[in-house]
Amino acid sequence: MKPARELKAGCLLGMRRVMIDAGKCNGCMTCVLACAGAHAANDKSIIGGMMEKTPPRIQVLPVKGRAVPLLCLHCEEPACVDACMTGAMRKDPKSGLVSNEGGEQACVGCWMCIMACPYGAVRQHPDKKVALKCDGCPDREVPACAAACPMDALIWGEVDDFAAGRAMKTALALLEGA
Amino acid sequence: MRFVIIGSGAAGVRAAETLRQIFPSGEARRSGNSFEDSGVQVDGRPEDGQVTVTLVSAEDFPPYSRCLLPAYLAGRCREEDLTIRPRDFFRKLGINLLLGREALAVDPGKKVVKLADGEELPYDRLLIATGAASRFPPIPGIDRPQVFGLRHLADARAIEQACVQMCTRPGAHAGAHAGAQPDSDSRLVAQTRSVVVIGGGFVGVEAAYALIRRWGAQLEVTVVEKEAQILPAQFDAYAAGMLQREMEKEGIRFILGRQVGEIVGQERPDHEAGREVGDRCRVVLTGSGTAGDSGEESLPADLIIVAAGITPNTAWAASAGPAVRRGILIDDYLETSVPGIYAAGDVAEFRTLSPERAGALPTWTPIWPNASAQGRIAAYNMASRRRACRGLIGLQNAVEFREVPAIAMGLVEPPVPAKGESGESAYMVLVKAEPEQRRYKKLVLYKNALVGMVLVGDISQAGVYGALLRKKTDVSRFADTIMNDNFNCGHLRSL
Repeated sequence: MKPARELKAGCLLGMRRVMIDAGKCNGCMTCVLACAGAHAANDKSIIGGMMEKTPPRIQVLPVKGRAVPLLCLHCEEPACVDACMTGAMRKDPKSGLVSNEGGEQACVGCWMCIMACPYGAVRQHPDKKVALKCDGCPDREVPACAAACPMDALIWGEVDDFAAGRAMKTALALLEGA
Repeated sequence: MRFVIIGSGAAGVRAAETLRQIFPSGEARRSGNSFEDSGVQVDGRPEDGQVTVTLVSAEDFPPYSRCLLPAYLAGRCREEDLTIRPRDFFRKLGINLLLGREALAVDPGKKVVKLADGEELPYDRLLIATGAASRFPPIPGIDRPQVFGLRHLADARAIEQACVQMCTRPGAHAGAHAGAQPDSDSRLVAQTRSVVVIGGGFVGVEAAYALIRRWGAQLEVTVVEKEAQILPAQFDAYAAGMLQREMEKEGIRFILGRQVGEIVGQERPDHEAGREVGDRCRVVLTGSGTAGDSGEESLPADLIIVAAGITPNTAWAASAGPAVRRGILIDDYLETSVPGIYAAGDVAEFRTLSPERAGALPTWTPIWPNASAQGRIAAYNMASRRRACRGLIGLQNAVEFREVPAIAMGLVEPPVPAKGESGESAYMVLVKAEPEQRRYKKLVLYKNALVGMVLVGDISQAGVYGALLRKKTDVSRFADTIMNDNFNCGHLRSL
């Protein structure tokens, strides 16, 4: 690990992430539908997601009459990983993506990650006793939410100063020292 | 540089893995991140600039999660599901994992750890992460063979085995209300099997819940708690009552406000064979109990689980010389009073608190997330990347009983003003209770900063409140929204 890589937006500058420009979000929910579709078991389309009732991992939060998209920021030092007592939640050393799925250790739904995440980006799966969060769409070139957003409120790209600065400014400040 | 870590719980494993992120071995090392360019000062005898990371565990089982032991007792996971890292994880990362090797002493002069088998492990930086042990209160009879703690896999295995024996032995009844038929062996075994859990904290209630989930009506499970509510360290009385009622629906019985004075019973003379659970004891209760207490003086018990808190495992570490109070004392950088020796997790206690933390947070924070974070940050400091450990909330936990999740954090009940104290309290309590929906939300504010919270039912924003609590954010500007169901981190953008 090279020292003094700059941390911004909870993740490293230069890594590719979905960045949120909440000011552009009009609450159309296309990202939510696209996310659900992308995680459907069979038909990975918006229709497939609706038919299979796949729960979405991205949230569009109501904030005083406006819409604010929220998804996992895949933090450099994720509080959810520290909190996970089964070892299911881990950060992939190569991709930097944080997920509780696909590993040898299983999530048991103890909700410690929900308690730990300062953004509220981890939720309870509506049907199963497991935590549900954005997996960063590791098998896609562009995460489904960002690919689908018609307003450019979700932008897929390298984390740069400008993007990091505007992405959930205040919530990020909360993470400092956590 | 030789890093030695004693203890393979949350703190030890996280420290070892972080050290190997800083100093990758094998292939990762050849790809450019070598020890030489890391800037770490070598103060021991470097072995060709080689970094070794050794993780020593007294237990003969790969690193596992104690928090999962109730799930194991409930039959929800098998032994191999308890491990917290993949099978080849330690080998791949270049961590030397020594299982079943107990550390007996440390010689800080020679910089060696002495193992029980006589081997001496040299170190340059040492991390003590030996955790804690079940605390057995000084009750007469607590050393009876029917009494178990619940801290290690060995404890869980023993409890499991005892339950299997009790519930499959001749004379055991399938139902609590089945008619008692005398057994040919003994009059005593022809009764419903009774489990008494001493202590209504997290471990106690989770153990009780696990046993009832697994064995159902074959076991009668009673939890005895000395306070007037269950989960007294974390939850307020209202939330504890909600959770208690959920567990009562499963058939668990609670005796509150009473203590166990003695455990009496007959022991077989030939109990060399190990723990003998066939003999029933009686748990003698003291105290008057809460309203509605049946007033009985004793309870039958075939199995007793002691969940009366934990004691840090500091005994052996005393040989190394670090100062010990309740736990091994550490500074903000997790170093003990002996340079080069660090401590993290349940065994450690903060020696000093930075002024901003003094008085606000407990010095001992024995929960999994904090142990992990401490292990991680200790690794940075051991690698000479100085980093303070801040903002750990000691009293926080998450539970779920009968699909009712609950999370509590910090100070959930403002202190009662002292007698004669007048004037307005600096505390404010915001409460929203919807018992029929099994939902409850409580925020405790001190001078406009969040200092405690309880969420039952809807826990989705627990982390956001936790962040406000940790940062001591002035929440008065969210006064109109903070109690709303849809309060979320998006509201914080207006800061």
